[in-house]
Amino acid sequence: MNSERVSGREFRNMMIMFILGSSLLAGGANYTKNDRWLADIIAIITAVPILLMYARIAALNRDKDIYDVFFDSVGKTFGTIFTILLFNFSIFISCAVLRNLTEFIQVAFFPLTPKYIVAIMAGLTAYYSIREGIETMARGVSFVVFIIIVILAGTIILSLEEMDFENFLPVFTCPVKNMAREAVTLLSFPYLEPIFFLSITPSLNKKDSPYKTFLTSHFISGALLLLLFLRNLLVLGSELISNLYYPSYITISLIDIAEFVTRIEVVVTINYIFCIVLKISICMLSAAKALRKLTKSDDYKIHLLPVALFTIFYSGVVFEDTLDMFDSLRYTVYLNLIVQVLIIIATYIFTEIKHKRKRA
Amino acid sequence: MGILSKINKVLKYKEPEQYKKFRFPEDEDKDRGEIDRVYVGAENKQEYSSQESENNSSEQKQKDQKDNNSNPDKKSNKQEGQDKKQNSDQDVDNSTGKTANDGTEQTKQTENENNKHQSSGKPKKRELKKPIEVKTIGEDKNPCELKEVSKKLQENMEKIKHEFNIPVNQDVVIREFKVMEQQDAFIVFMDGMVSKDIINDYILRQLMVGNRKKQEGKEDTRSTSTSEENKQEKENLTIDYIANNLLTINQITKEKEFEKIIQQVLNGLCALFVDGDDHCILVESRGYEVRSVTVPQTEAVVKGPHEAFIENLRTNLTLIRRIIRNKGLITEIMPIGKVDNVSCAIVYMKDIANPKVVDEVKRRIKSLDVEYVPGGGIMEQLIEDHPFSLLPQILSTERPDRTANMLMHGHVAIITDGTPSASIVPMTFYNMMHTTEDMSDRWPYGAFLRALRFVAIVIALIVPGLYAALSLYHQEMIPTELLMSLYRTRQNTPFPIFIEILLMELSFEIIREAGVRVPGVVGQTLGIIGAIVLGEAAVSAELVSPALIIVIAVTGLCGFVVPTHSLSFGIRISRFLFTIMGALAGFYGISLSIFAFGAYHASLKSFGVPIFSPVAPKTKSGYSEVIRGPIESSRERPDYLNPQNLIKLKTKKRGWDATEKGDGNS
Repeated sequence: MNSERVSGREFRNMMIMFILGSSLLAGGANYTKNDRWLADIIAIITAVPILLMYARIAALNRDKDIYDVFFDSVGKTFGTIFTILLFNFSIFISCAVLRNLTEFIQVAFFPLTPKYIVAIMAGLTAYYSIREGIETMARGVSFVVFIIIVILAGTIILSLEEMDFENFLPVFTCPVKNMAREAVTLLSFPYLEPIFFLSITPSLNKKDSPYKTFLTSHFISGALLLLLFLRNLLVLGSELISNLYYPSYITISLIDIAEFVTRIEVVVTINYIFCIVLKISICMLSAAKALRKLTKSDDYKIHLLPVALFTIFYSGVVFEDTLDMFDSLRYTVYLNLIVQVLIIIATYIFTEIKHKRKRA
Repeated sequence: MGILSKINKVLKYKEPEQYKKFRFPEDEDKDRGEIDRVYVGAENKQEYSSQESENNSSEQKQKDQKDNNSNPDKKSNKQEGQDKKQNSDQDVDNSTGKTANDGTEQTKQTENENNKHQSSGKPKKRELKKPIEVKTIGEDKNPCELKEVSKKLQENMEKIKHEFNIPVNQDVVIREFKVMEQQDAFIVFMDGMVSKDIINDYILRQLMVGNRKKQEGKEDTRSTSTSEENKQEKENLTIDYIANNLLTINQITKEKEFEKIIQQVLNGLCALFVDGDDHCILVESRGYEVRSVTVPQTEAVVKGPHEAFIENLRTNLTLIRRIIRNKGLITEIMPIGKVDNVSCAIVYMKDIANPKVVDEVKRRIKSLDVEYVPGGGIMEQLIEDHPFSLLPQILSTERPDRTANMLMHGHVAIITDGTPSASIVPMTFYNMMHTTEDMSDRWPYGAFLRALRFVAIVIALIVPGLYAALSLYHQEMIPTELLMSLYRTRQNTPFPIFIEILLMELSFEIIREAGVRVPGVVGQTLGIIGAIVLGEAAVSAELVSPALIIVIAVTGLCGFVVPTHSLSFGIRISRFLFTIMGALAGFYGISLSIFAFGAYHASLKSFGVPIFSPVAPKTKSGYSEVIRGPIESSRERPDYLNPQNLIKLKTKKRGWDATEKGDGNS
């Protein structure tokens, strides 16, 4: 049934790019100002058990995607409900991410271009790339991820000049409540987003362990995001960082080496666009696979174009404007966690029980 | 009733009456060539015992006779004579059937009466009838419908004449002669495709006079020998005898089917037909004009061999075999065109190449249903995986040493007759970025050259697009001084940047194309004119900015750095995509197009091997295909080819040790 094969390395690369995603340009601190690094660490650690559940589900069902697992573990009714919820989540995330991109492009590059033009370009590119299947996407990503990491490291080195280590202080000043909110937000976006990869784990090479794949990509991308935040914090300072929508973008634009290496934010933007398109593609794929399960069709690929078109259209109306987008994302976090955590826990428990019964 | 007629009854086959008569059970088993005459036997009488059938048959006979008589021009005089004989024989049958001829058979009445007179005396006894020559029986068979070589030379001749449209077609030569002054024979060959020396010296001379010594020795006995002895000797002159004793040709084959014979004659072989044998000898006599082996035109190198393939398949295979002198080098020759009968050779190393790839190549080539394949280029397009991709998936090289190197890695080469290049599959993007010089020169130079090519390919792809994006959308990225000077040069130019780029790109491509098309000496002049007039004059006329000229010139040069011709084409065409996207949406458009371009090309496969292996997907070995390291470092064959034998011959290539000293003797 599934002839596509993705090696563990490629899978990990995709996940790193996926998690970095919009944080490549955003990476601000909404609640915690200069203590976000701590929230980051908390989020990284708390995400581990849930990621282990993801990996366990994937490991127990090497031939089934998450939607098949839903139906197998919690029965038809709840399976359908779970599938619809995850489908909804996929569509929402892909729309939100696409909107994020269009907003950014509009703000940074084309203030006068209608945002639908930008959305159509990105949405169709994502569709075109995923149309050939996840295998192709994974191969294409192998080129990019290395460049992304090099550029990330490069920007950190280049912004050393601008860094002010005083910005790190004062530490531990934010209230615990804010810290928790920040951590929960980070948990949902982006650390638990690999839930979408559960729909493509059947393509993972049999010899590669899902645990290793999920955890290594989690820690690598977590470390990168932490570094990224620290860079922004040290360059911009705590006040500025919590007031900007795209602190990373501003940080990089401040780089000025001998008046020649200046304004290299465009290079980072290219990376950002790569990550975002990948993210949209994966979300679309997840949504299409959900539709395949719900409509009981054989091939998910026929659902890709409708999903893509819907994403493009819906990305324009899902938020009112840039402000609304950032505000809404704060509150949808809790809804998202229902899918990312509760559904997965339920599925995990039932899968485990089923597995035990089978062994017994 | 004979068995055959029973079968015919079941099959509802209506046999011509004229023919039916001569069929006997004993006759069917015997070789017709040996029996000159057949006899009308008693069984015939039984067959025609009923009145009705007799009437019918006699009516039909008459019709047949009329038909025979009405087409005399189709038959030789000899055959006409046979016809007459046959008619009379039929009449004999009628009479022996003891049934009266009705009035329908008026024309031969008198003859019938004569026959009656002969046969009516002892009707029930088996008696000798007037013989019929077997040739008349065979005459019903049209020699043009023969599938296999007949024992009768005349039929073969007619078949050959029919097939080759002789005498309309004047390229085919049929030479009739007698083998050793006894046996009738003829050879057929295509004029111009064969070596006249071979035909004259080693076929005709050998067959006609070659054994004269032996003949002379026998001369005395021959004069006294009876005709039977003569016949005996004649029968000894079989095709096997000729092949074993007379033909001094290194390569001959016995062939029976006309289809193959005609095919081989068209290929330049000479077919020898001998009377009384149902085989023919195909003599290797190819000798047409071929170009001599010359220096490669498009893949010239400074260091390394300077041989290139030519149009002749045999020579090309020899060029490879001269490099790989190994018994494992397999050459399989297959026909491709249905009408033009072009053949191609599939070359691979038996112990190295993945048999699945070899099978896949064979499967694709066998499946081709084309009437005409004018060359390897068409064949490549017919067997490639993605016809709509801009990047090629089959490498076409004119260098035998490169082909040999690829074969040793486990690739498969397809060489089409008439094409001075080999098509190599499976192919990766990195293979197409190589030249043989990378390997023949020392590794740091090779590594530098390869890295340079990768840089060049990126420049060739995206620089015009980047220029458009920078100057249209991202001026802030350009350092201020540069921006000022750019602005100054662009102040008076009338066109938008996008139009400017397209104009220059197009004129660049036109100059290039014109330079290729016009003859050599003029071509260089044209290049200079193109460069000076279009470049310099366009700048001084303030039609385009000088910065753009630099961009286009650099891009154009980088496009030519790509060693593979078709890849270079793909890159140059893809450049327009990036230019348009860069002009449309700046860096955003460029990054989206890079993503889509990458994703699409990552999906390309060449005979099951992803085209960006070993980078995407990553494979264990084969990185020496991407980055050139010291020779010592590449110990394994590329993993993505799944060769049967991953490790190359020696693990340690440099078997010597610098610290040891030789004893001076070896």
